[in-house]
Amino acid sequence: MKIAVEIENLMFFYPDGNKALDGVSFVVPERSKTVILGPNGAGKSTLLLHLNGLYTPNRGKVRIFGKLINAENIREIRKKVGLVFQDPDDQLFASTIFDDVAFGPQNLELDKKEILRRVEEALKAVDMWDLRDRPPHHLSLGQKKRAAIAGVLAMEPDIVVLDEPMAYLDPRGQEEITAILNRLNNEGKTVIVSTHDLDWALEWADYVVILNAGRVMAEGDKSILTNRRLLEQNGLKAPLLVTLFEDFEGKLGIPTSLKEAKQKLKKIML
Amino acid sequence: MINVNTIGQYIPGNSLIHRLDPRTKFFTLLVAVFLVFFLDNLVHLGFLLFGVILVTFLAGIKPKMFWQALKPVVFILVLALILQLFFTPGEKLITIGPFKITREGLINSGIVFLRLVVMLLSAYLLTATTSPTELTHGLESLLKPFGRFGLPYGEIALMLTIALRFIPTLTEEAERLIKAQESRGADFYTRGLSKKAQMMLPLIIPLFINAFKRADELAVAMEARGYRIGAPRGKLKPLKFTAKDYLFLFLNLLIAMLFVILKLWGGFPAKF
Repeated sequence: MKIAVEIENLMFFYPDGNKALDGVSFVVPERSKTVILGPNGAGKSTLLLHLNGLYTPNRGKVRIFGKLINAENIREIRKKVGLVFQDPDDQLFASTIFDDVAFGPQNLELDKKEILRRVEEALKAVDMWDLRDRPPHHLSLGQKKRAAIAGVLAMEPDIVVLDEPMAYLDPRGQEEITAILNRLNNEGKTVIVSTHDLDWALEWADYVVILNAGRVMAEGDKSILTNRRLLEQNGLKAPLLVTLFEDFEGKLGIPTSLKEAKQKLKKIML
Repeated sequence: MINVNTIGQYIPGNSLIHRLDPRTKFFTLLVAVFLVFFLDNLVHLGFLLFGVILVTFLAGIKPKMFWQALKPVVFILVLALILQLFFTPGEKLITIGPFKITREGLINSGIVFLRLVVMLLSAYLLTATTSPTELTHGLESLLKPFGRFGLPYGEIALMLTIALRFIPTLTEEAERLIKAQESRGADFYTRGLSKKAQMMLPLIIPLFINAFKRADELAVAMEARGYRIGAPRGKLKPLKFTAKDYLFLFLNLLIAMLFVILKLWGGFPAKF
């Protein structure tokens, strides 16, 4: 297993002296679908801002593909790690979606042909190519979100980090985003997502980090999400599948995806 | 982090000055500003500055805090001093190259300096010792008499409250915007002036759009809670003058009168 992100004893204090991250250590395997879970105020967003050097740690280390983030390689790191903010309105500013997605590549001082290629590719990846000439502020939230993701994809990062990508989206919007994330992962990108939607995490993730009060409480494959006690101790709720199957654990075991659950049920019913 | 600790920042405390009625403090500021322009004598202005410093001391505000708030305007202060110092015609004292310093220039720059410092310090004192809520209540109450001439005093006060309320929100938002654009390779810190101006666009446009959106939502949310422009509203904490307010107002008038007499009498270092 190669490692995409390695965080070692990360400490971060807000300017008012409040501790946001209190010695966070974990790794993100390359090409994984990693979720960072935790209740509100656990430090998820603050942690994500460290992944491409937007925050510099008060203490501790952040390594991207083995390289320590420092002042010299920050431009390189930001090309490798793309960060999508929770609220797309924090990011979209240009008069058309196309121009907005081109903003990142322009900052990289690429030539025109390359910029156009990247913008087209990014917009097609999120299914927004047909809406490229629309002003962002007249789009639906789901479309804005996809545009914001395209803006980051145009930087061609190896690691894509998304802060609560499902927040406020309708079921269809959530499905579309999930499909995009899966596609990115299939292309070989490492995808890191912060969320507190346990049902979605159980279905989608293959690597799980649980954060609470600025500390990592658990880290590993998604069998972590079947541990009700651990989840509840950290302000989270067990996924529906776990709640449903835990009474029959001895007989059926606990499934870690809807597909697996269906198979188990079919087996005993048919 | 963007620095918001400038002039206008409230510094919570429980000093005598903090506990005064906001209207008393408004009135005192008015008296101080009147005196600043009325007096034109270095020594008289010196007395005034001494008085204001005394009040600062009473308010428990350390010189360091005032200095921090003053920093952004120091440039203007120094510029005004230099202009006065070198470009006032009169009796020559010292010559430095093509510039000459005159006796009148020296006195004038002293007066300008004292006037600016007294004004800044008294305005600073008002906002530093009065919470934004009190400030708007005081303003509302002072503007009330003009209501019969059609002045929407309630709305003005509410506008001020909301404006003050959103300063930290907007700074926070600006910070988040900077981060969002930085993660797309934008560089806000190390380029030339024209590049810098260009980089402001991705910052200012979303900031404005979000602010308008927020204003719209706030307006609807307020209406949903029964707010109507122009309609009378109940008072939660009516302002009340206490003994210390009357004492302070009395002292204000007394000091103002003393200064007026001092100037009209013309004596007491009249030469300055």
